[in-house]
Amino acid sequence: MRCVKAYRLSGTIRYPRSRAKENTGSAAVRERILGAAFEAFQERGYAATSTLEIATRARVSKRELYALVGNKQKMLIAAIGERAKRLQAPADMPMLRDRATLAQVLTAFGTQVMREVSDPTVVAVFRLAIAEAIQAPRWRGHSILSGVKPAVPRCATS
Amino acid sequence: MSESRAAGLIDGRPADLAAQFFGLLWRDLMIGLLLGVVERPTARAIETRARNAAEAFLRLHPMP
Repeated sequence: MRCVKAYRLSGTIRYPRSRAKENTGSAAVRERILGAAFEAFQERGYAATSTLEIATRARVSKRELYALVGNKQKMLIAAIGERAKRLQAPADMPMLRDRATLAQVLTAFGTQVMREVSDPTVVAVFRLAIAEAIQAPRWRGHSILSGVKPAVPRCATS
Repeated sequence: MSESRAAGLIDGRPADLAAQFFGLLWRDLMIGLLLGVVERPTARAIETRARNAAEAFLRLHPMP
């Protein structure tokens, strides 16, 4: 189990207006769009959020928005995917020689996981994913929920 | 979990063991958080919960 420091989910990506003009590269603009989309989804719900609103929040044209990210569905998948990517297994973990060490590792791991996953931003991701699960047939093939399972992170089972 | 099993500290299927540990860890907390009916636990409460879950887990799975 190499997951003691695995979870870095709590970092909410914020895009202060003063920094917006500095981030003009495609990757930075895409990141800004995803941040704006995620904030809008959280505040207004996925269905009630329009691409125009996301474009306005991100201070890009709709054309640029579609070119860099795609439609609203792709934006939600990308926004969730970006956060799920932070569920990565680290390389360092003490050697498990006895059960006392195992207890320590489990405690540290459990603490880390719960601290990160109970972060309000992460809970909001789960809420969004659950709310959109009703659209399951449309989402088939995107594995939207595969990276946001709170109960058993993939790295814990390997 | 695989390494624990390989070290002879525990027995069982790693995925099942992990699911069980996380069940003991989370209990109904995530449902409460999703519904907005409970507050996020404090750092101390999280650590206590994790320690209790680890102890309970190891009691459920004695040395093979």
